[in-house]
Amino acid sequence: MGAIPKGVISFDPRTKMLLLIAVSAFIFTNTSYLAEASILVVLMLIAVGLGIPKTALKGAIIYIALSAVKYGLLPILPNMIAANFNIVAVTFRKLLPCFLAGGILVQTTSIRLLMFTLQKLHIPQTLIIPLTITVRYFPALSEERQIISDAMKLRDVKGIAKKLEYVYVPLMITASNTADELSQAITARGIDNPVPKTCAIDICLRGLDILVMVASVGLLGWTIAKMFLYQGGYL
Amino acid sequence: MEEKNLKVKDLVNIGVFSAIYMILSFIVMVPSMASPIIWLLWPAICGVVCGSIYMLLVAKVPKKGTALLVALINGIIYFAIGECTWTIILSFAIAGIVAEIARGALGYQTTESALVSCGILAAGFIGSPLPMWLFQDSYVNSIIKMGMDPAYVANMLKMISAGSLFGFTAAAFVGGLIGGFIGKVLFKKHFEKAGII
Repeated sequence: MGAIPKGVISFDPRTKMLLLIAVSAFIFTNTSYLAEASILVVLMLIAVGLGIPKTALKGAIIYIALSAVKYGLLPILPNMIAANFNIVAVTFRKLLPCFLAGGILVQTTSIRLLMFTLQKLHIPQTLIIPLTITVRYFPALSEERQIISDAMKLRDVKGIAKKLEYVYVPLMITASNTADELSQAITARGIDNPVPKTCAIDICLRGLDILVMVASVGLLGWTIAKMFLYQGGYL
Repeated sequence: MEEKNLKVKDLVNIGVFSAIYMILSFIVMVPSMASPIIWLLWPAICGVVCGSIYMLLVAKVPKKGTALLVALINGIIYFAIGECTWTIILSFAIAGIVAEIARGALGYQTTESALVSCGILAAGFIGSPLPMWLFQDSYVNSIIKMGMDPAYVANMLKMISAGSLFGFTAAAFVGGLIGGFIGKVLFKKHFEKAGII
């Protein structure tokens, strides 16, 4: 996990979660290209404000490219290929606001803060602990991959079936050992303690949070209202 | 293994193996998104690739809640990184609950229950291509606007009909079973001798 970027504005993790839920609910009932693009622009502004302009830029480039493919390239392609790619182009373009909202949540929230927020939302510890471990284990996995590929080169392993076997087995054995060690380490740090955990950074809702939250709730309300108005047409 | 409830050690095991489960499925996901047909088969491919990971986990943690937690963690992380939509949380939650019921009925220690729940979990991945079915109206509209051959449109729709949804879910289940069998073979060859399980 890299450092958390410092942006001009900062949001409460709860705001980002609500935003993600509202956006991903909205795109399922939305058919207007304009609404979709404006949601994306708002999300990009938020991403830039939070200090992840690269993610915002990447989203914009992919969106423009997919729109160009849809309206520029597909009409001139042969029908067979066009129809096939149409599905992918449309799906990805529609899911792009979700990617961006997810990026905003994951890239600008530290694990510790996320854990604290989940606890505040009364998610049971049985779910929070494995969830945090999973997120924490991703970087360790990429190290593992490096070690395994080095070892395979050293032993000159040939053949796909054999290679796959030689990846799976060490991966599972180290995972099993790491799990044992990790559980001893976190037990020593007192994760068994039944009292609620505390965090040095307190989370609180500021003006901007409330603004974004109201907008998200509005979006959700609009989505649900639309679902009832045009029953059967969507979803 | 007298204890019925999940201990911290079990939770950590679930966390670590869920990470591998998710990463492996993610590695397969990236190239398979290039074509809709492969993407529809993605759950089945995931079942084959990830099955053995899950088999080792249930062998290590043969308790109530393991399958559900793996499913929920995968669903939540896929949702949070934005690769998929809320449909994946829904499908994984359903798959997790069904897998738990199957495990409860077949017993937590038996191989059959591990294999069956492995297949059910793989079916949970269907939430990723599910938007293809939900966005159907948009596709139909744009295909008709493009002036396509009606026969071809009908053919396309066949690919994303209710029947095919069931078919691809079943394919995912079979994929999960195959993955589970691969896991069993690996265990016999490596893990049982080493005393890991």
